[in-house]
Amino acid sequence: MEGSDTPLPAAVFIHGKPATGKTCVVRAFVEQLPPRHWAYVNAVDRFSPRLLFEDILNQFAGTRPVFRDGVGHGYARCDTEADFILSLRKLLARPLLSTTTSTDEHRRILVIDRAERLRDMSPALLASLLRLAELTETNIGVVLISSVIWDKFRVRIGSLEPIQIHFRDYTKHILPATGQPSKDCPSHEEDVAFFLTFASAVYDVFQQNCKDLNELRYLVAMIFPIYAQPVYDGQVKREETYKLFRLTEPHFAKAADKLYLRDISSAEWTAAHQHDQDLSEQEAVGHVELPYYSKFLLIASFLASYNPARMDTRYFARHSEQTDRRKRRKNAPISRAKATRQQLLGPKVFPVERMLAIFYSIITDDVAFSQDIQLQVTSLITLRLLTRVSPADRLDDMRCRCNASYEFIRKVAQSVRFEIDHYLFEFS
Amino acid sequence: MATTPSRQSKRQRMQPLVDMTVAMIDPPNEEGRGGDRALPSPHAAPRAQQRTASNAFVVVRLSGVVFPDDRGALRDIARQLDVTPDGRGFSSFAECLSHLLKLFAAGQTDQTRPILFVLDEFDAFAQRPKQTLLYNLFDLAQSGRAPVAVIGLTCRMDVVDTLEKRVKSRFSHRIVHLRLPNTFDDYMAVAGDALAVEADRLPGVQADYHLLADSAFVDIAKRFFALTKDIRSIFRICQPLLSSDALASITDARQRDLKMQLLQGVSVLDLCLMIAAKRLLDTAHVQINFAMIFDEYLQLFASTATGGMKHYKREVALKAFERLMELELILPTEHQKSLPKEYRMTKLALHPYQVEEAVKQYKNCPEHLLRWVSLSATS
Repeated sequence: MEGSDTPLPAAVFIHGKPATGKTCVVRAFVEQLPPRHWAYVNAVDRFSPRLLFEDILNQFAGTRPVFRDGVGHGYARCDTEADFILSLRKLLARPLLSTTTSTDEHRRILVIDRAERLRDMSPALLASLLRLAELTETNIGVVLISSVIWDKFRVRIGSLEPIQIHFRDYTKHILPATGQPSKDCPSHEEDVAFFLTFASAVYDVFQQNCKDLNELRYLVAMIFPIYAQPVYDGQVKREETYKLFRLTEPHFAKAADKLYLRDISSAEWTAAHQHDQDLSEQEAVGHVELPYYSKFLLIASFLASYNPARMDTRYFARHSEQTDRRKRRKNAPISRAKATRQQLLGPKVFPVERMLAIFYSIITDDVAFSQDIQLQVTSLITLRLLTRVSPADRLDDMRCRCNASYEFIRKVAQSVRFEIDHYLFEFS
Repeated sequence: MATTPSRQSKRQRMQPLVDMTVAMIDPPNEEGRGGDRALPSPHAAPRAQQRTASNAFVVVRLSGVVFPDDRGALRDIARQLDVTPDGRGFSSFAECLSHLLKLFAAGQTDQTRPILFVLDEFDAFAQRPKQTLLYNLFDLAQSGRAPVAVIGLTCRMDVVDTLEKRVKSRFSHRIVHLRLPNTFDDYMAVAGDALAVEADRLPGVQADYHLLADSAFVDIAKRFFALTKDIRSIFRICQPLLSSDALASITDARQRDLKMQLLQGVSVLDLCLMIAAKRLLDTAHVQINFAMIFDEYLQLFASTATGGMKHYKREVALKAFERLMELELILPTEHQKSLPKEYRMTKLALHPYQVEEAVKQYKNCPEHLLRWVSLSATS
């Protein structure tokens, strides 16, 4: 595409999975161009049309906003699309003095990353960006980058189909190559091939659940020191890969649990391995210690959230279980097996009175209804273990929902020796 | 500019109407309906005329996608007419517009320099509340108070029906249809015209190379013609590269289902979740959430032998689920912020059949996944 008067394609749409090098390639391309011939914006941090427009204009104008005497200077003010197009037209018509020799004087490229966010801004924004060249009557090409396919972008009015470019996913063979081994490989490790063997092994282990290059690179960087440690200590030779993997194997499983989910930070991970700590001990760290009654309140609200109200008498009434069961069988609809269990639908909203009734029936001590109990309910709400659904200013008839997960409740119940499984309806 | 014979005749029909306005005989308003989305530039026609009679009239171009409201359009009219309205506040849109025109006329040497309004994406203007801009422009044109003509460009056939009664009655009902090239020869003529390059522009290509004579290219063009007569579709693929081999591979890639392609690159765990979701849809669920999908996933593991493979933890699966949401293969249905995220209802963006196809096409697909898919097909 040589020649300054050759029109650029009005719009190019680049899509592909996260971490397939879309932004990297496009940036490498535009950065060859002289400054002010291109602009790069990310729709995540420029989240409103105004921020987007102003940033683009600043980049094309080559101005940097400065803050002096309490006022911002050198800053484009642009609120609406009409203003944006007008300013852009004026701006681009002006010749650039710095690059007089350049043949492609009037060609500009605008790159918008994470373009899927543009859809939320305003319906016409995407349409006008796609035909920016036509509207501004300049030779400007718009490049949109997104991980979402174009089918989800089509707009109703004035839509113009862009040229689509798909970035393929990396396969195993090019993964280590694109991972820039020389860059990823720790500086004190001179044997790159040794590192690559390890990297491809990590790929084999994790590709079943994760193909994201960034994630894999992170894992490789975190586990590699452990893998290489026996070699540095002189216990194992470099060639004995099998032995090395056997030594590292338990860490792979742990990495899958902890590192991948970011349960612990990389610093914690390294520290734990330096001191040969058992990671399972750290589990208790995220645990919240609650007062005794609060625990029961939480269990009661969990039961209220997941059990149907009609089953309360069956579980919590101290007598008449026999008659109840008979009644239930009579009323039970036969097609219940197909319906989805409450466990899968998530917590239901319950009135606090019902929860308190359950609380008094499951607690063995004789607790008087007091302000204390009410306060503890409030503190559970503050801890986000309960969510208040009714408006905050309504004191009567308060309605809540339990946010705690089943695993969490199980642990809480264990700590107070409460057999929660006996009280849950259709739970597994 | 690519011009088919039919388009030339349309231009001939437009010319006298514009000329009439210029001559101030009877200012008409005209709606050229580009039923033809392939119009290379909607401004092509008036621009060409402006060239012939450069000083005879002024063109004001407005695009429906740019202006969120009619006030913004008014400001742009003022800018294009190069008048600066004084700071007086106007009570009505009409007053303001006529004031602008008065100011414009005052600035001219002869008082009757006509203005041609070109409204691109005309349908967008018709969707504005009260259609203020359209009403005022049409009223002006009809009453003959000022020499104006209005040309609207749209690709909606039913745009006249969307006009309000008072707007419709002021519209001259002169409609010009621009059609897509009807025959393949026309199509190729337009495409060839636009794709012609001077020989010295492309180094490395033989000077007498004729893409249009290349039978491979003609085949591709025929396929496009059968799909849509929109010429832009062929421009889109022609722009980056001009050899028929490269074109063939690009067209193949373009005609593949993108969502399916996306599914080919996901990890096995992601695919498992998609299968679980698909099975839920098979059992008459409309909305599904992560907890349901994961439960189904565990059931699948319990029901069949998986060759020593273990299932992933709930948290790992949740991360995979979020990735699928990010790729918009799974879409949220409602915004229930107060619910924990694994219980928020979602729907599948694919047809269950597509999931089945994707699994069958998946490279190195584990044996048990194939069994799961066929299992659900029978149940």
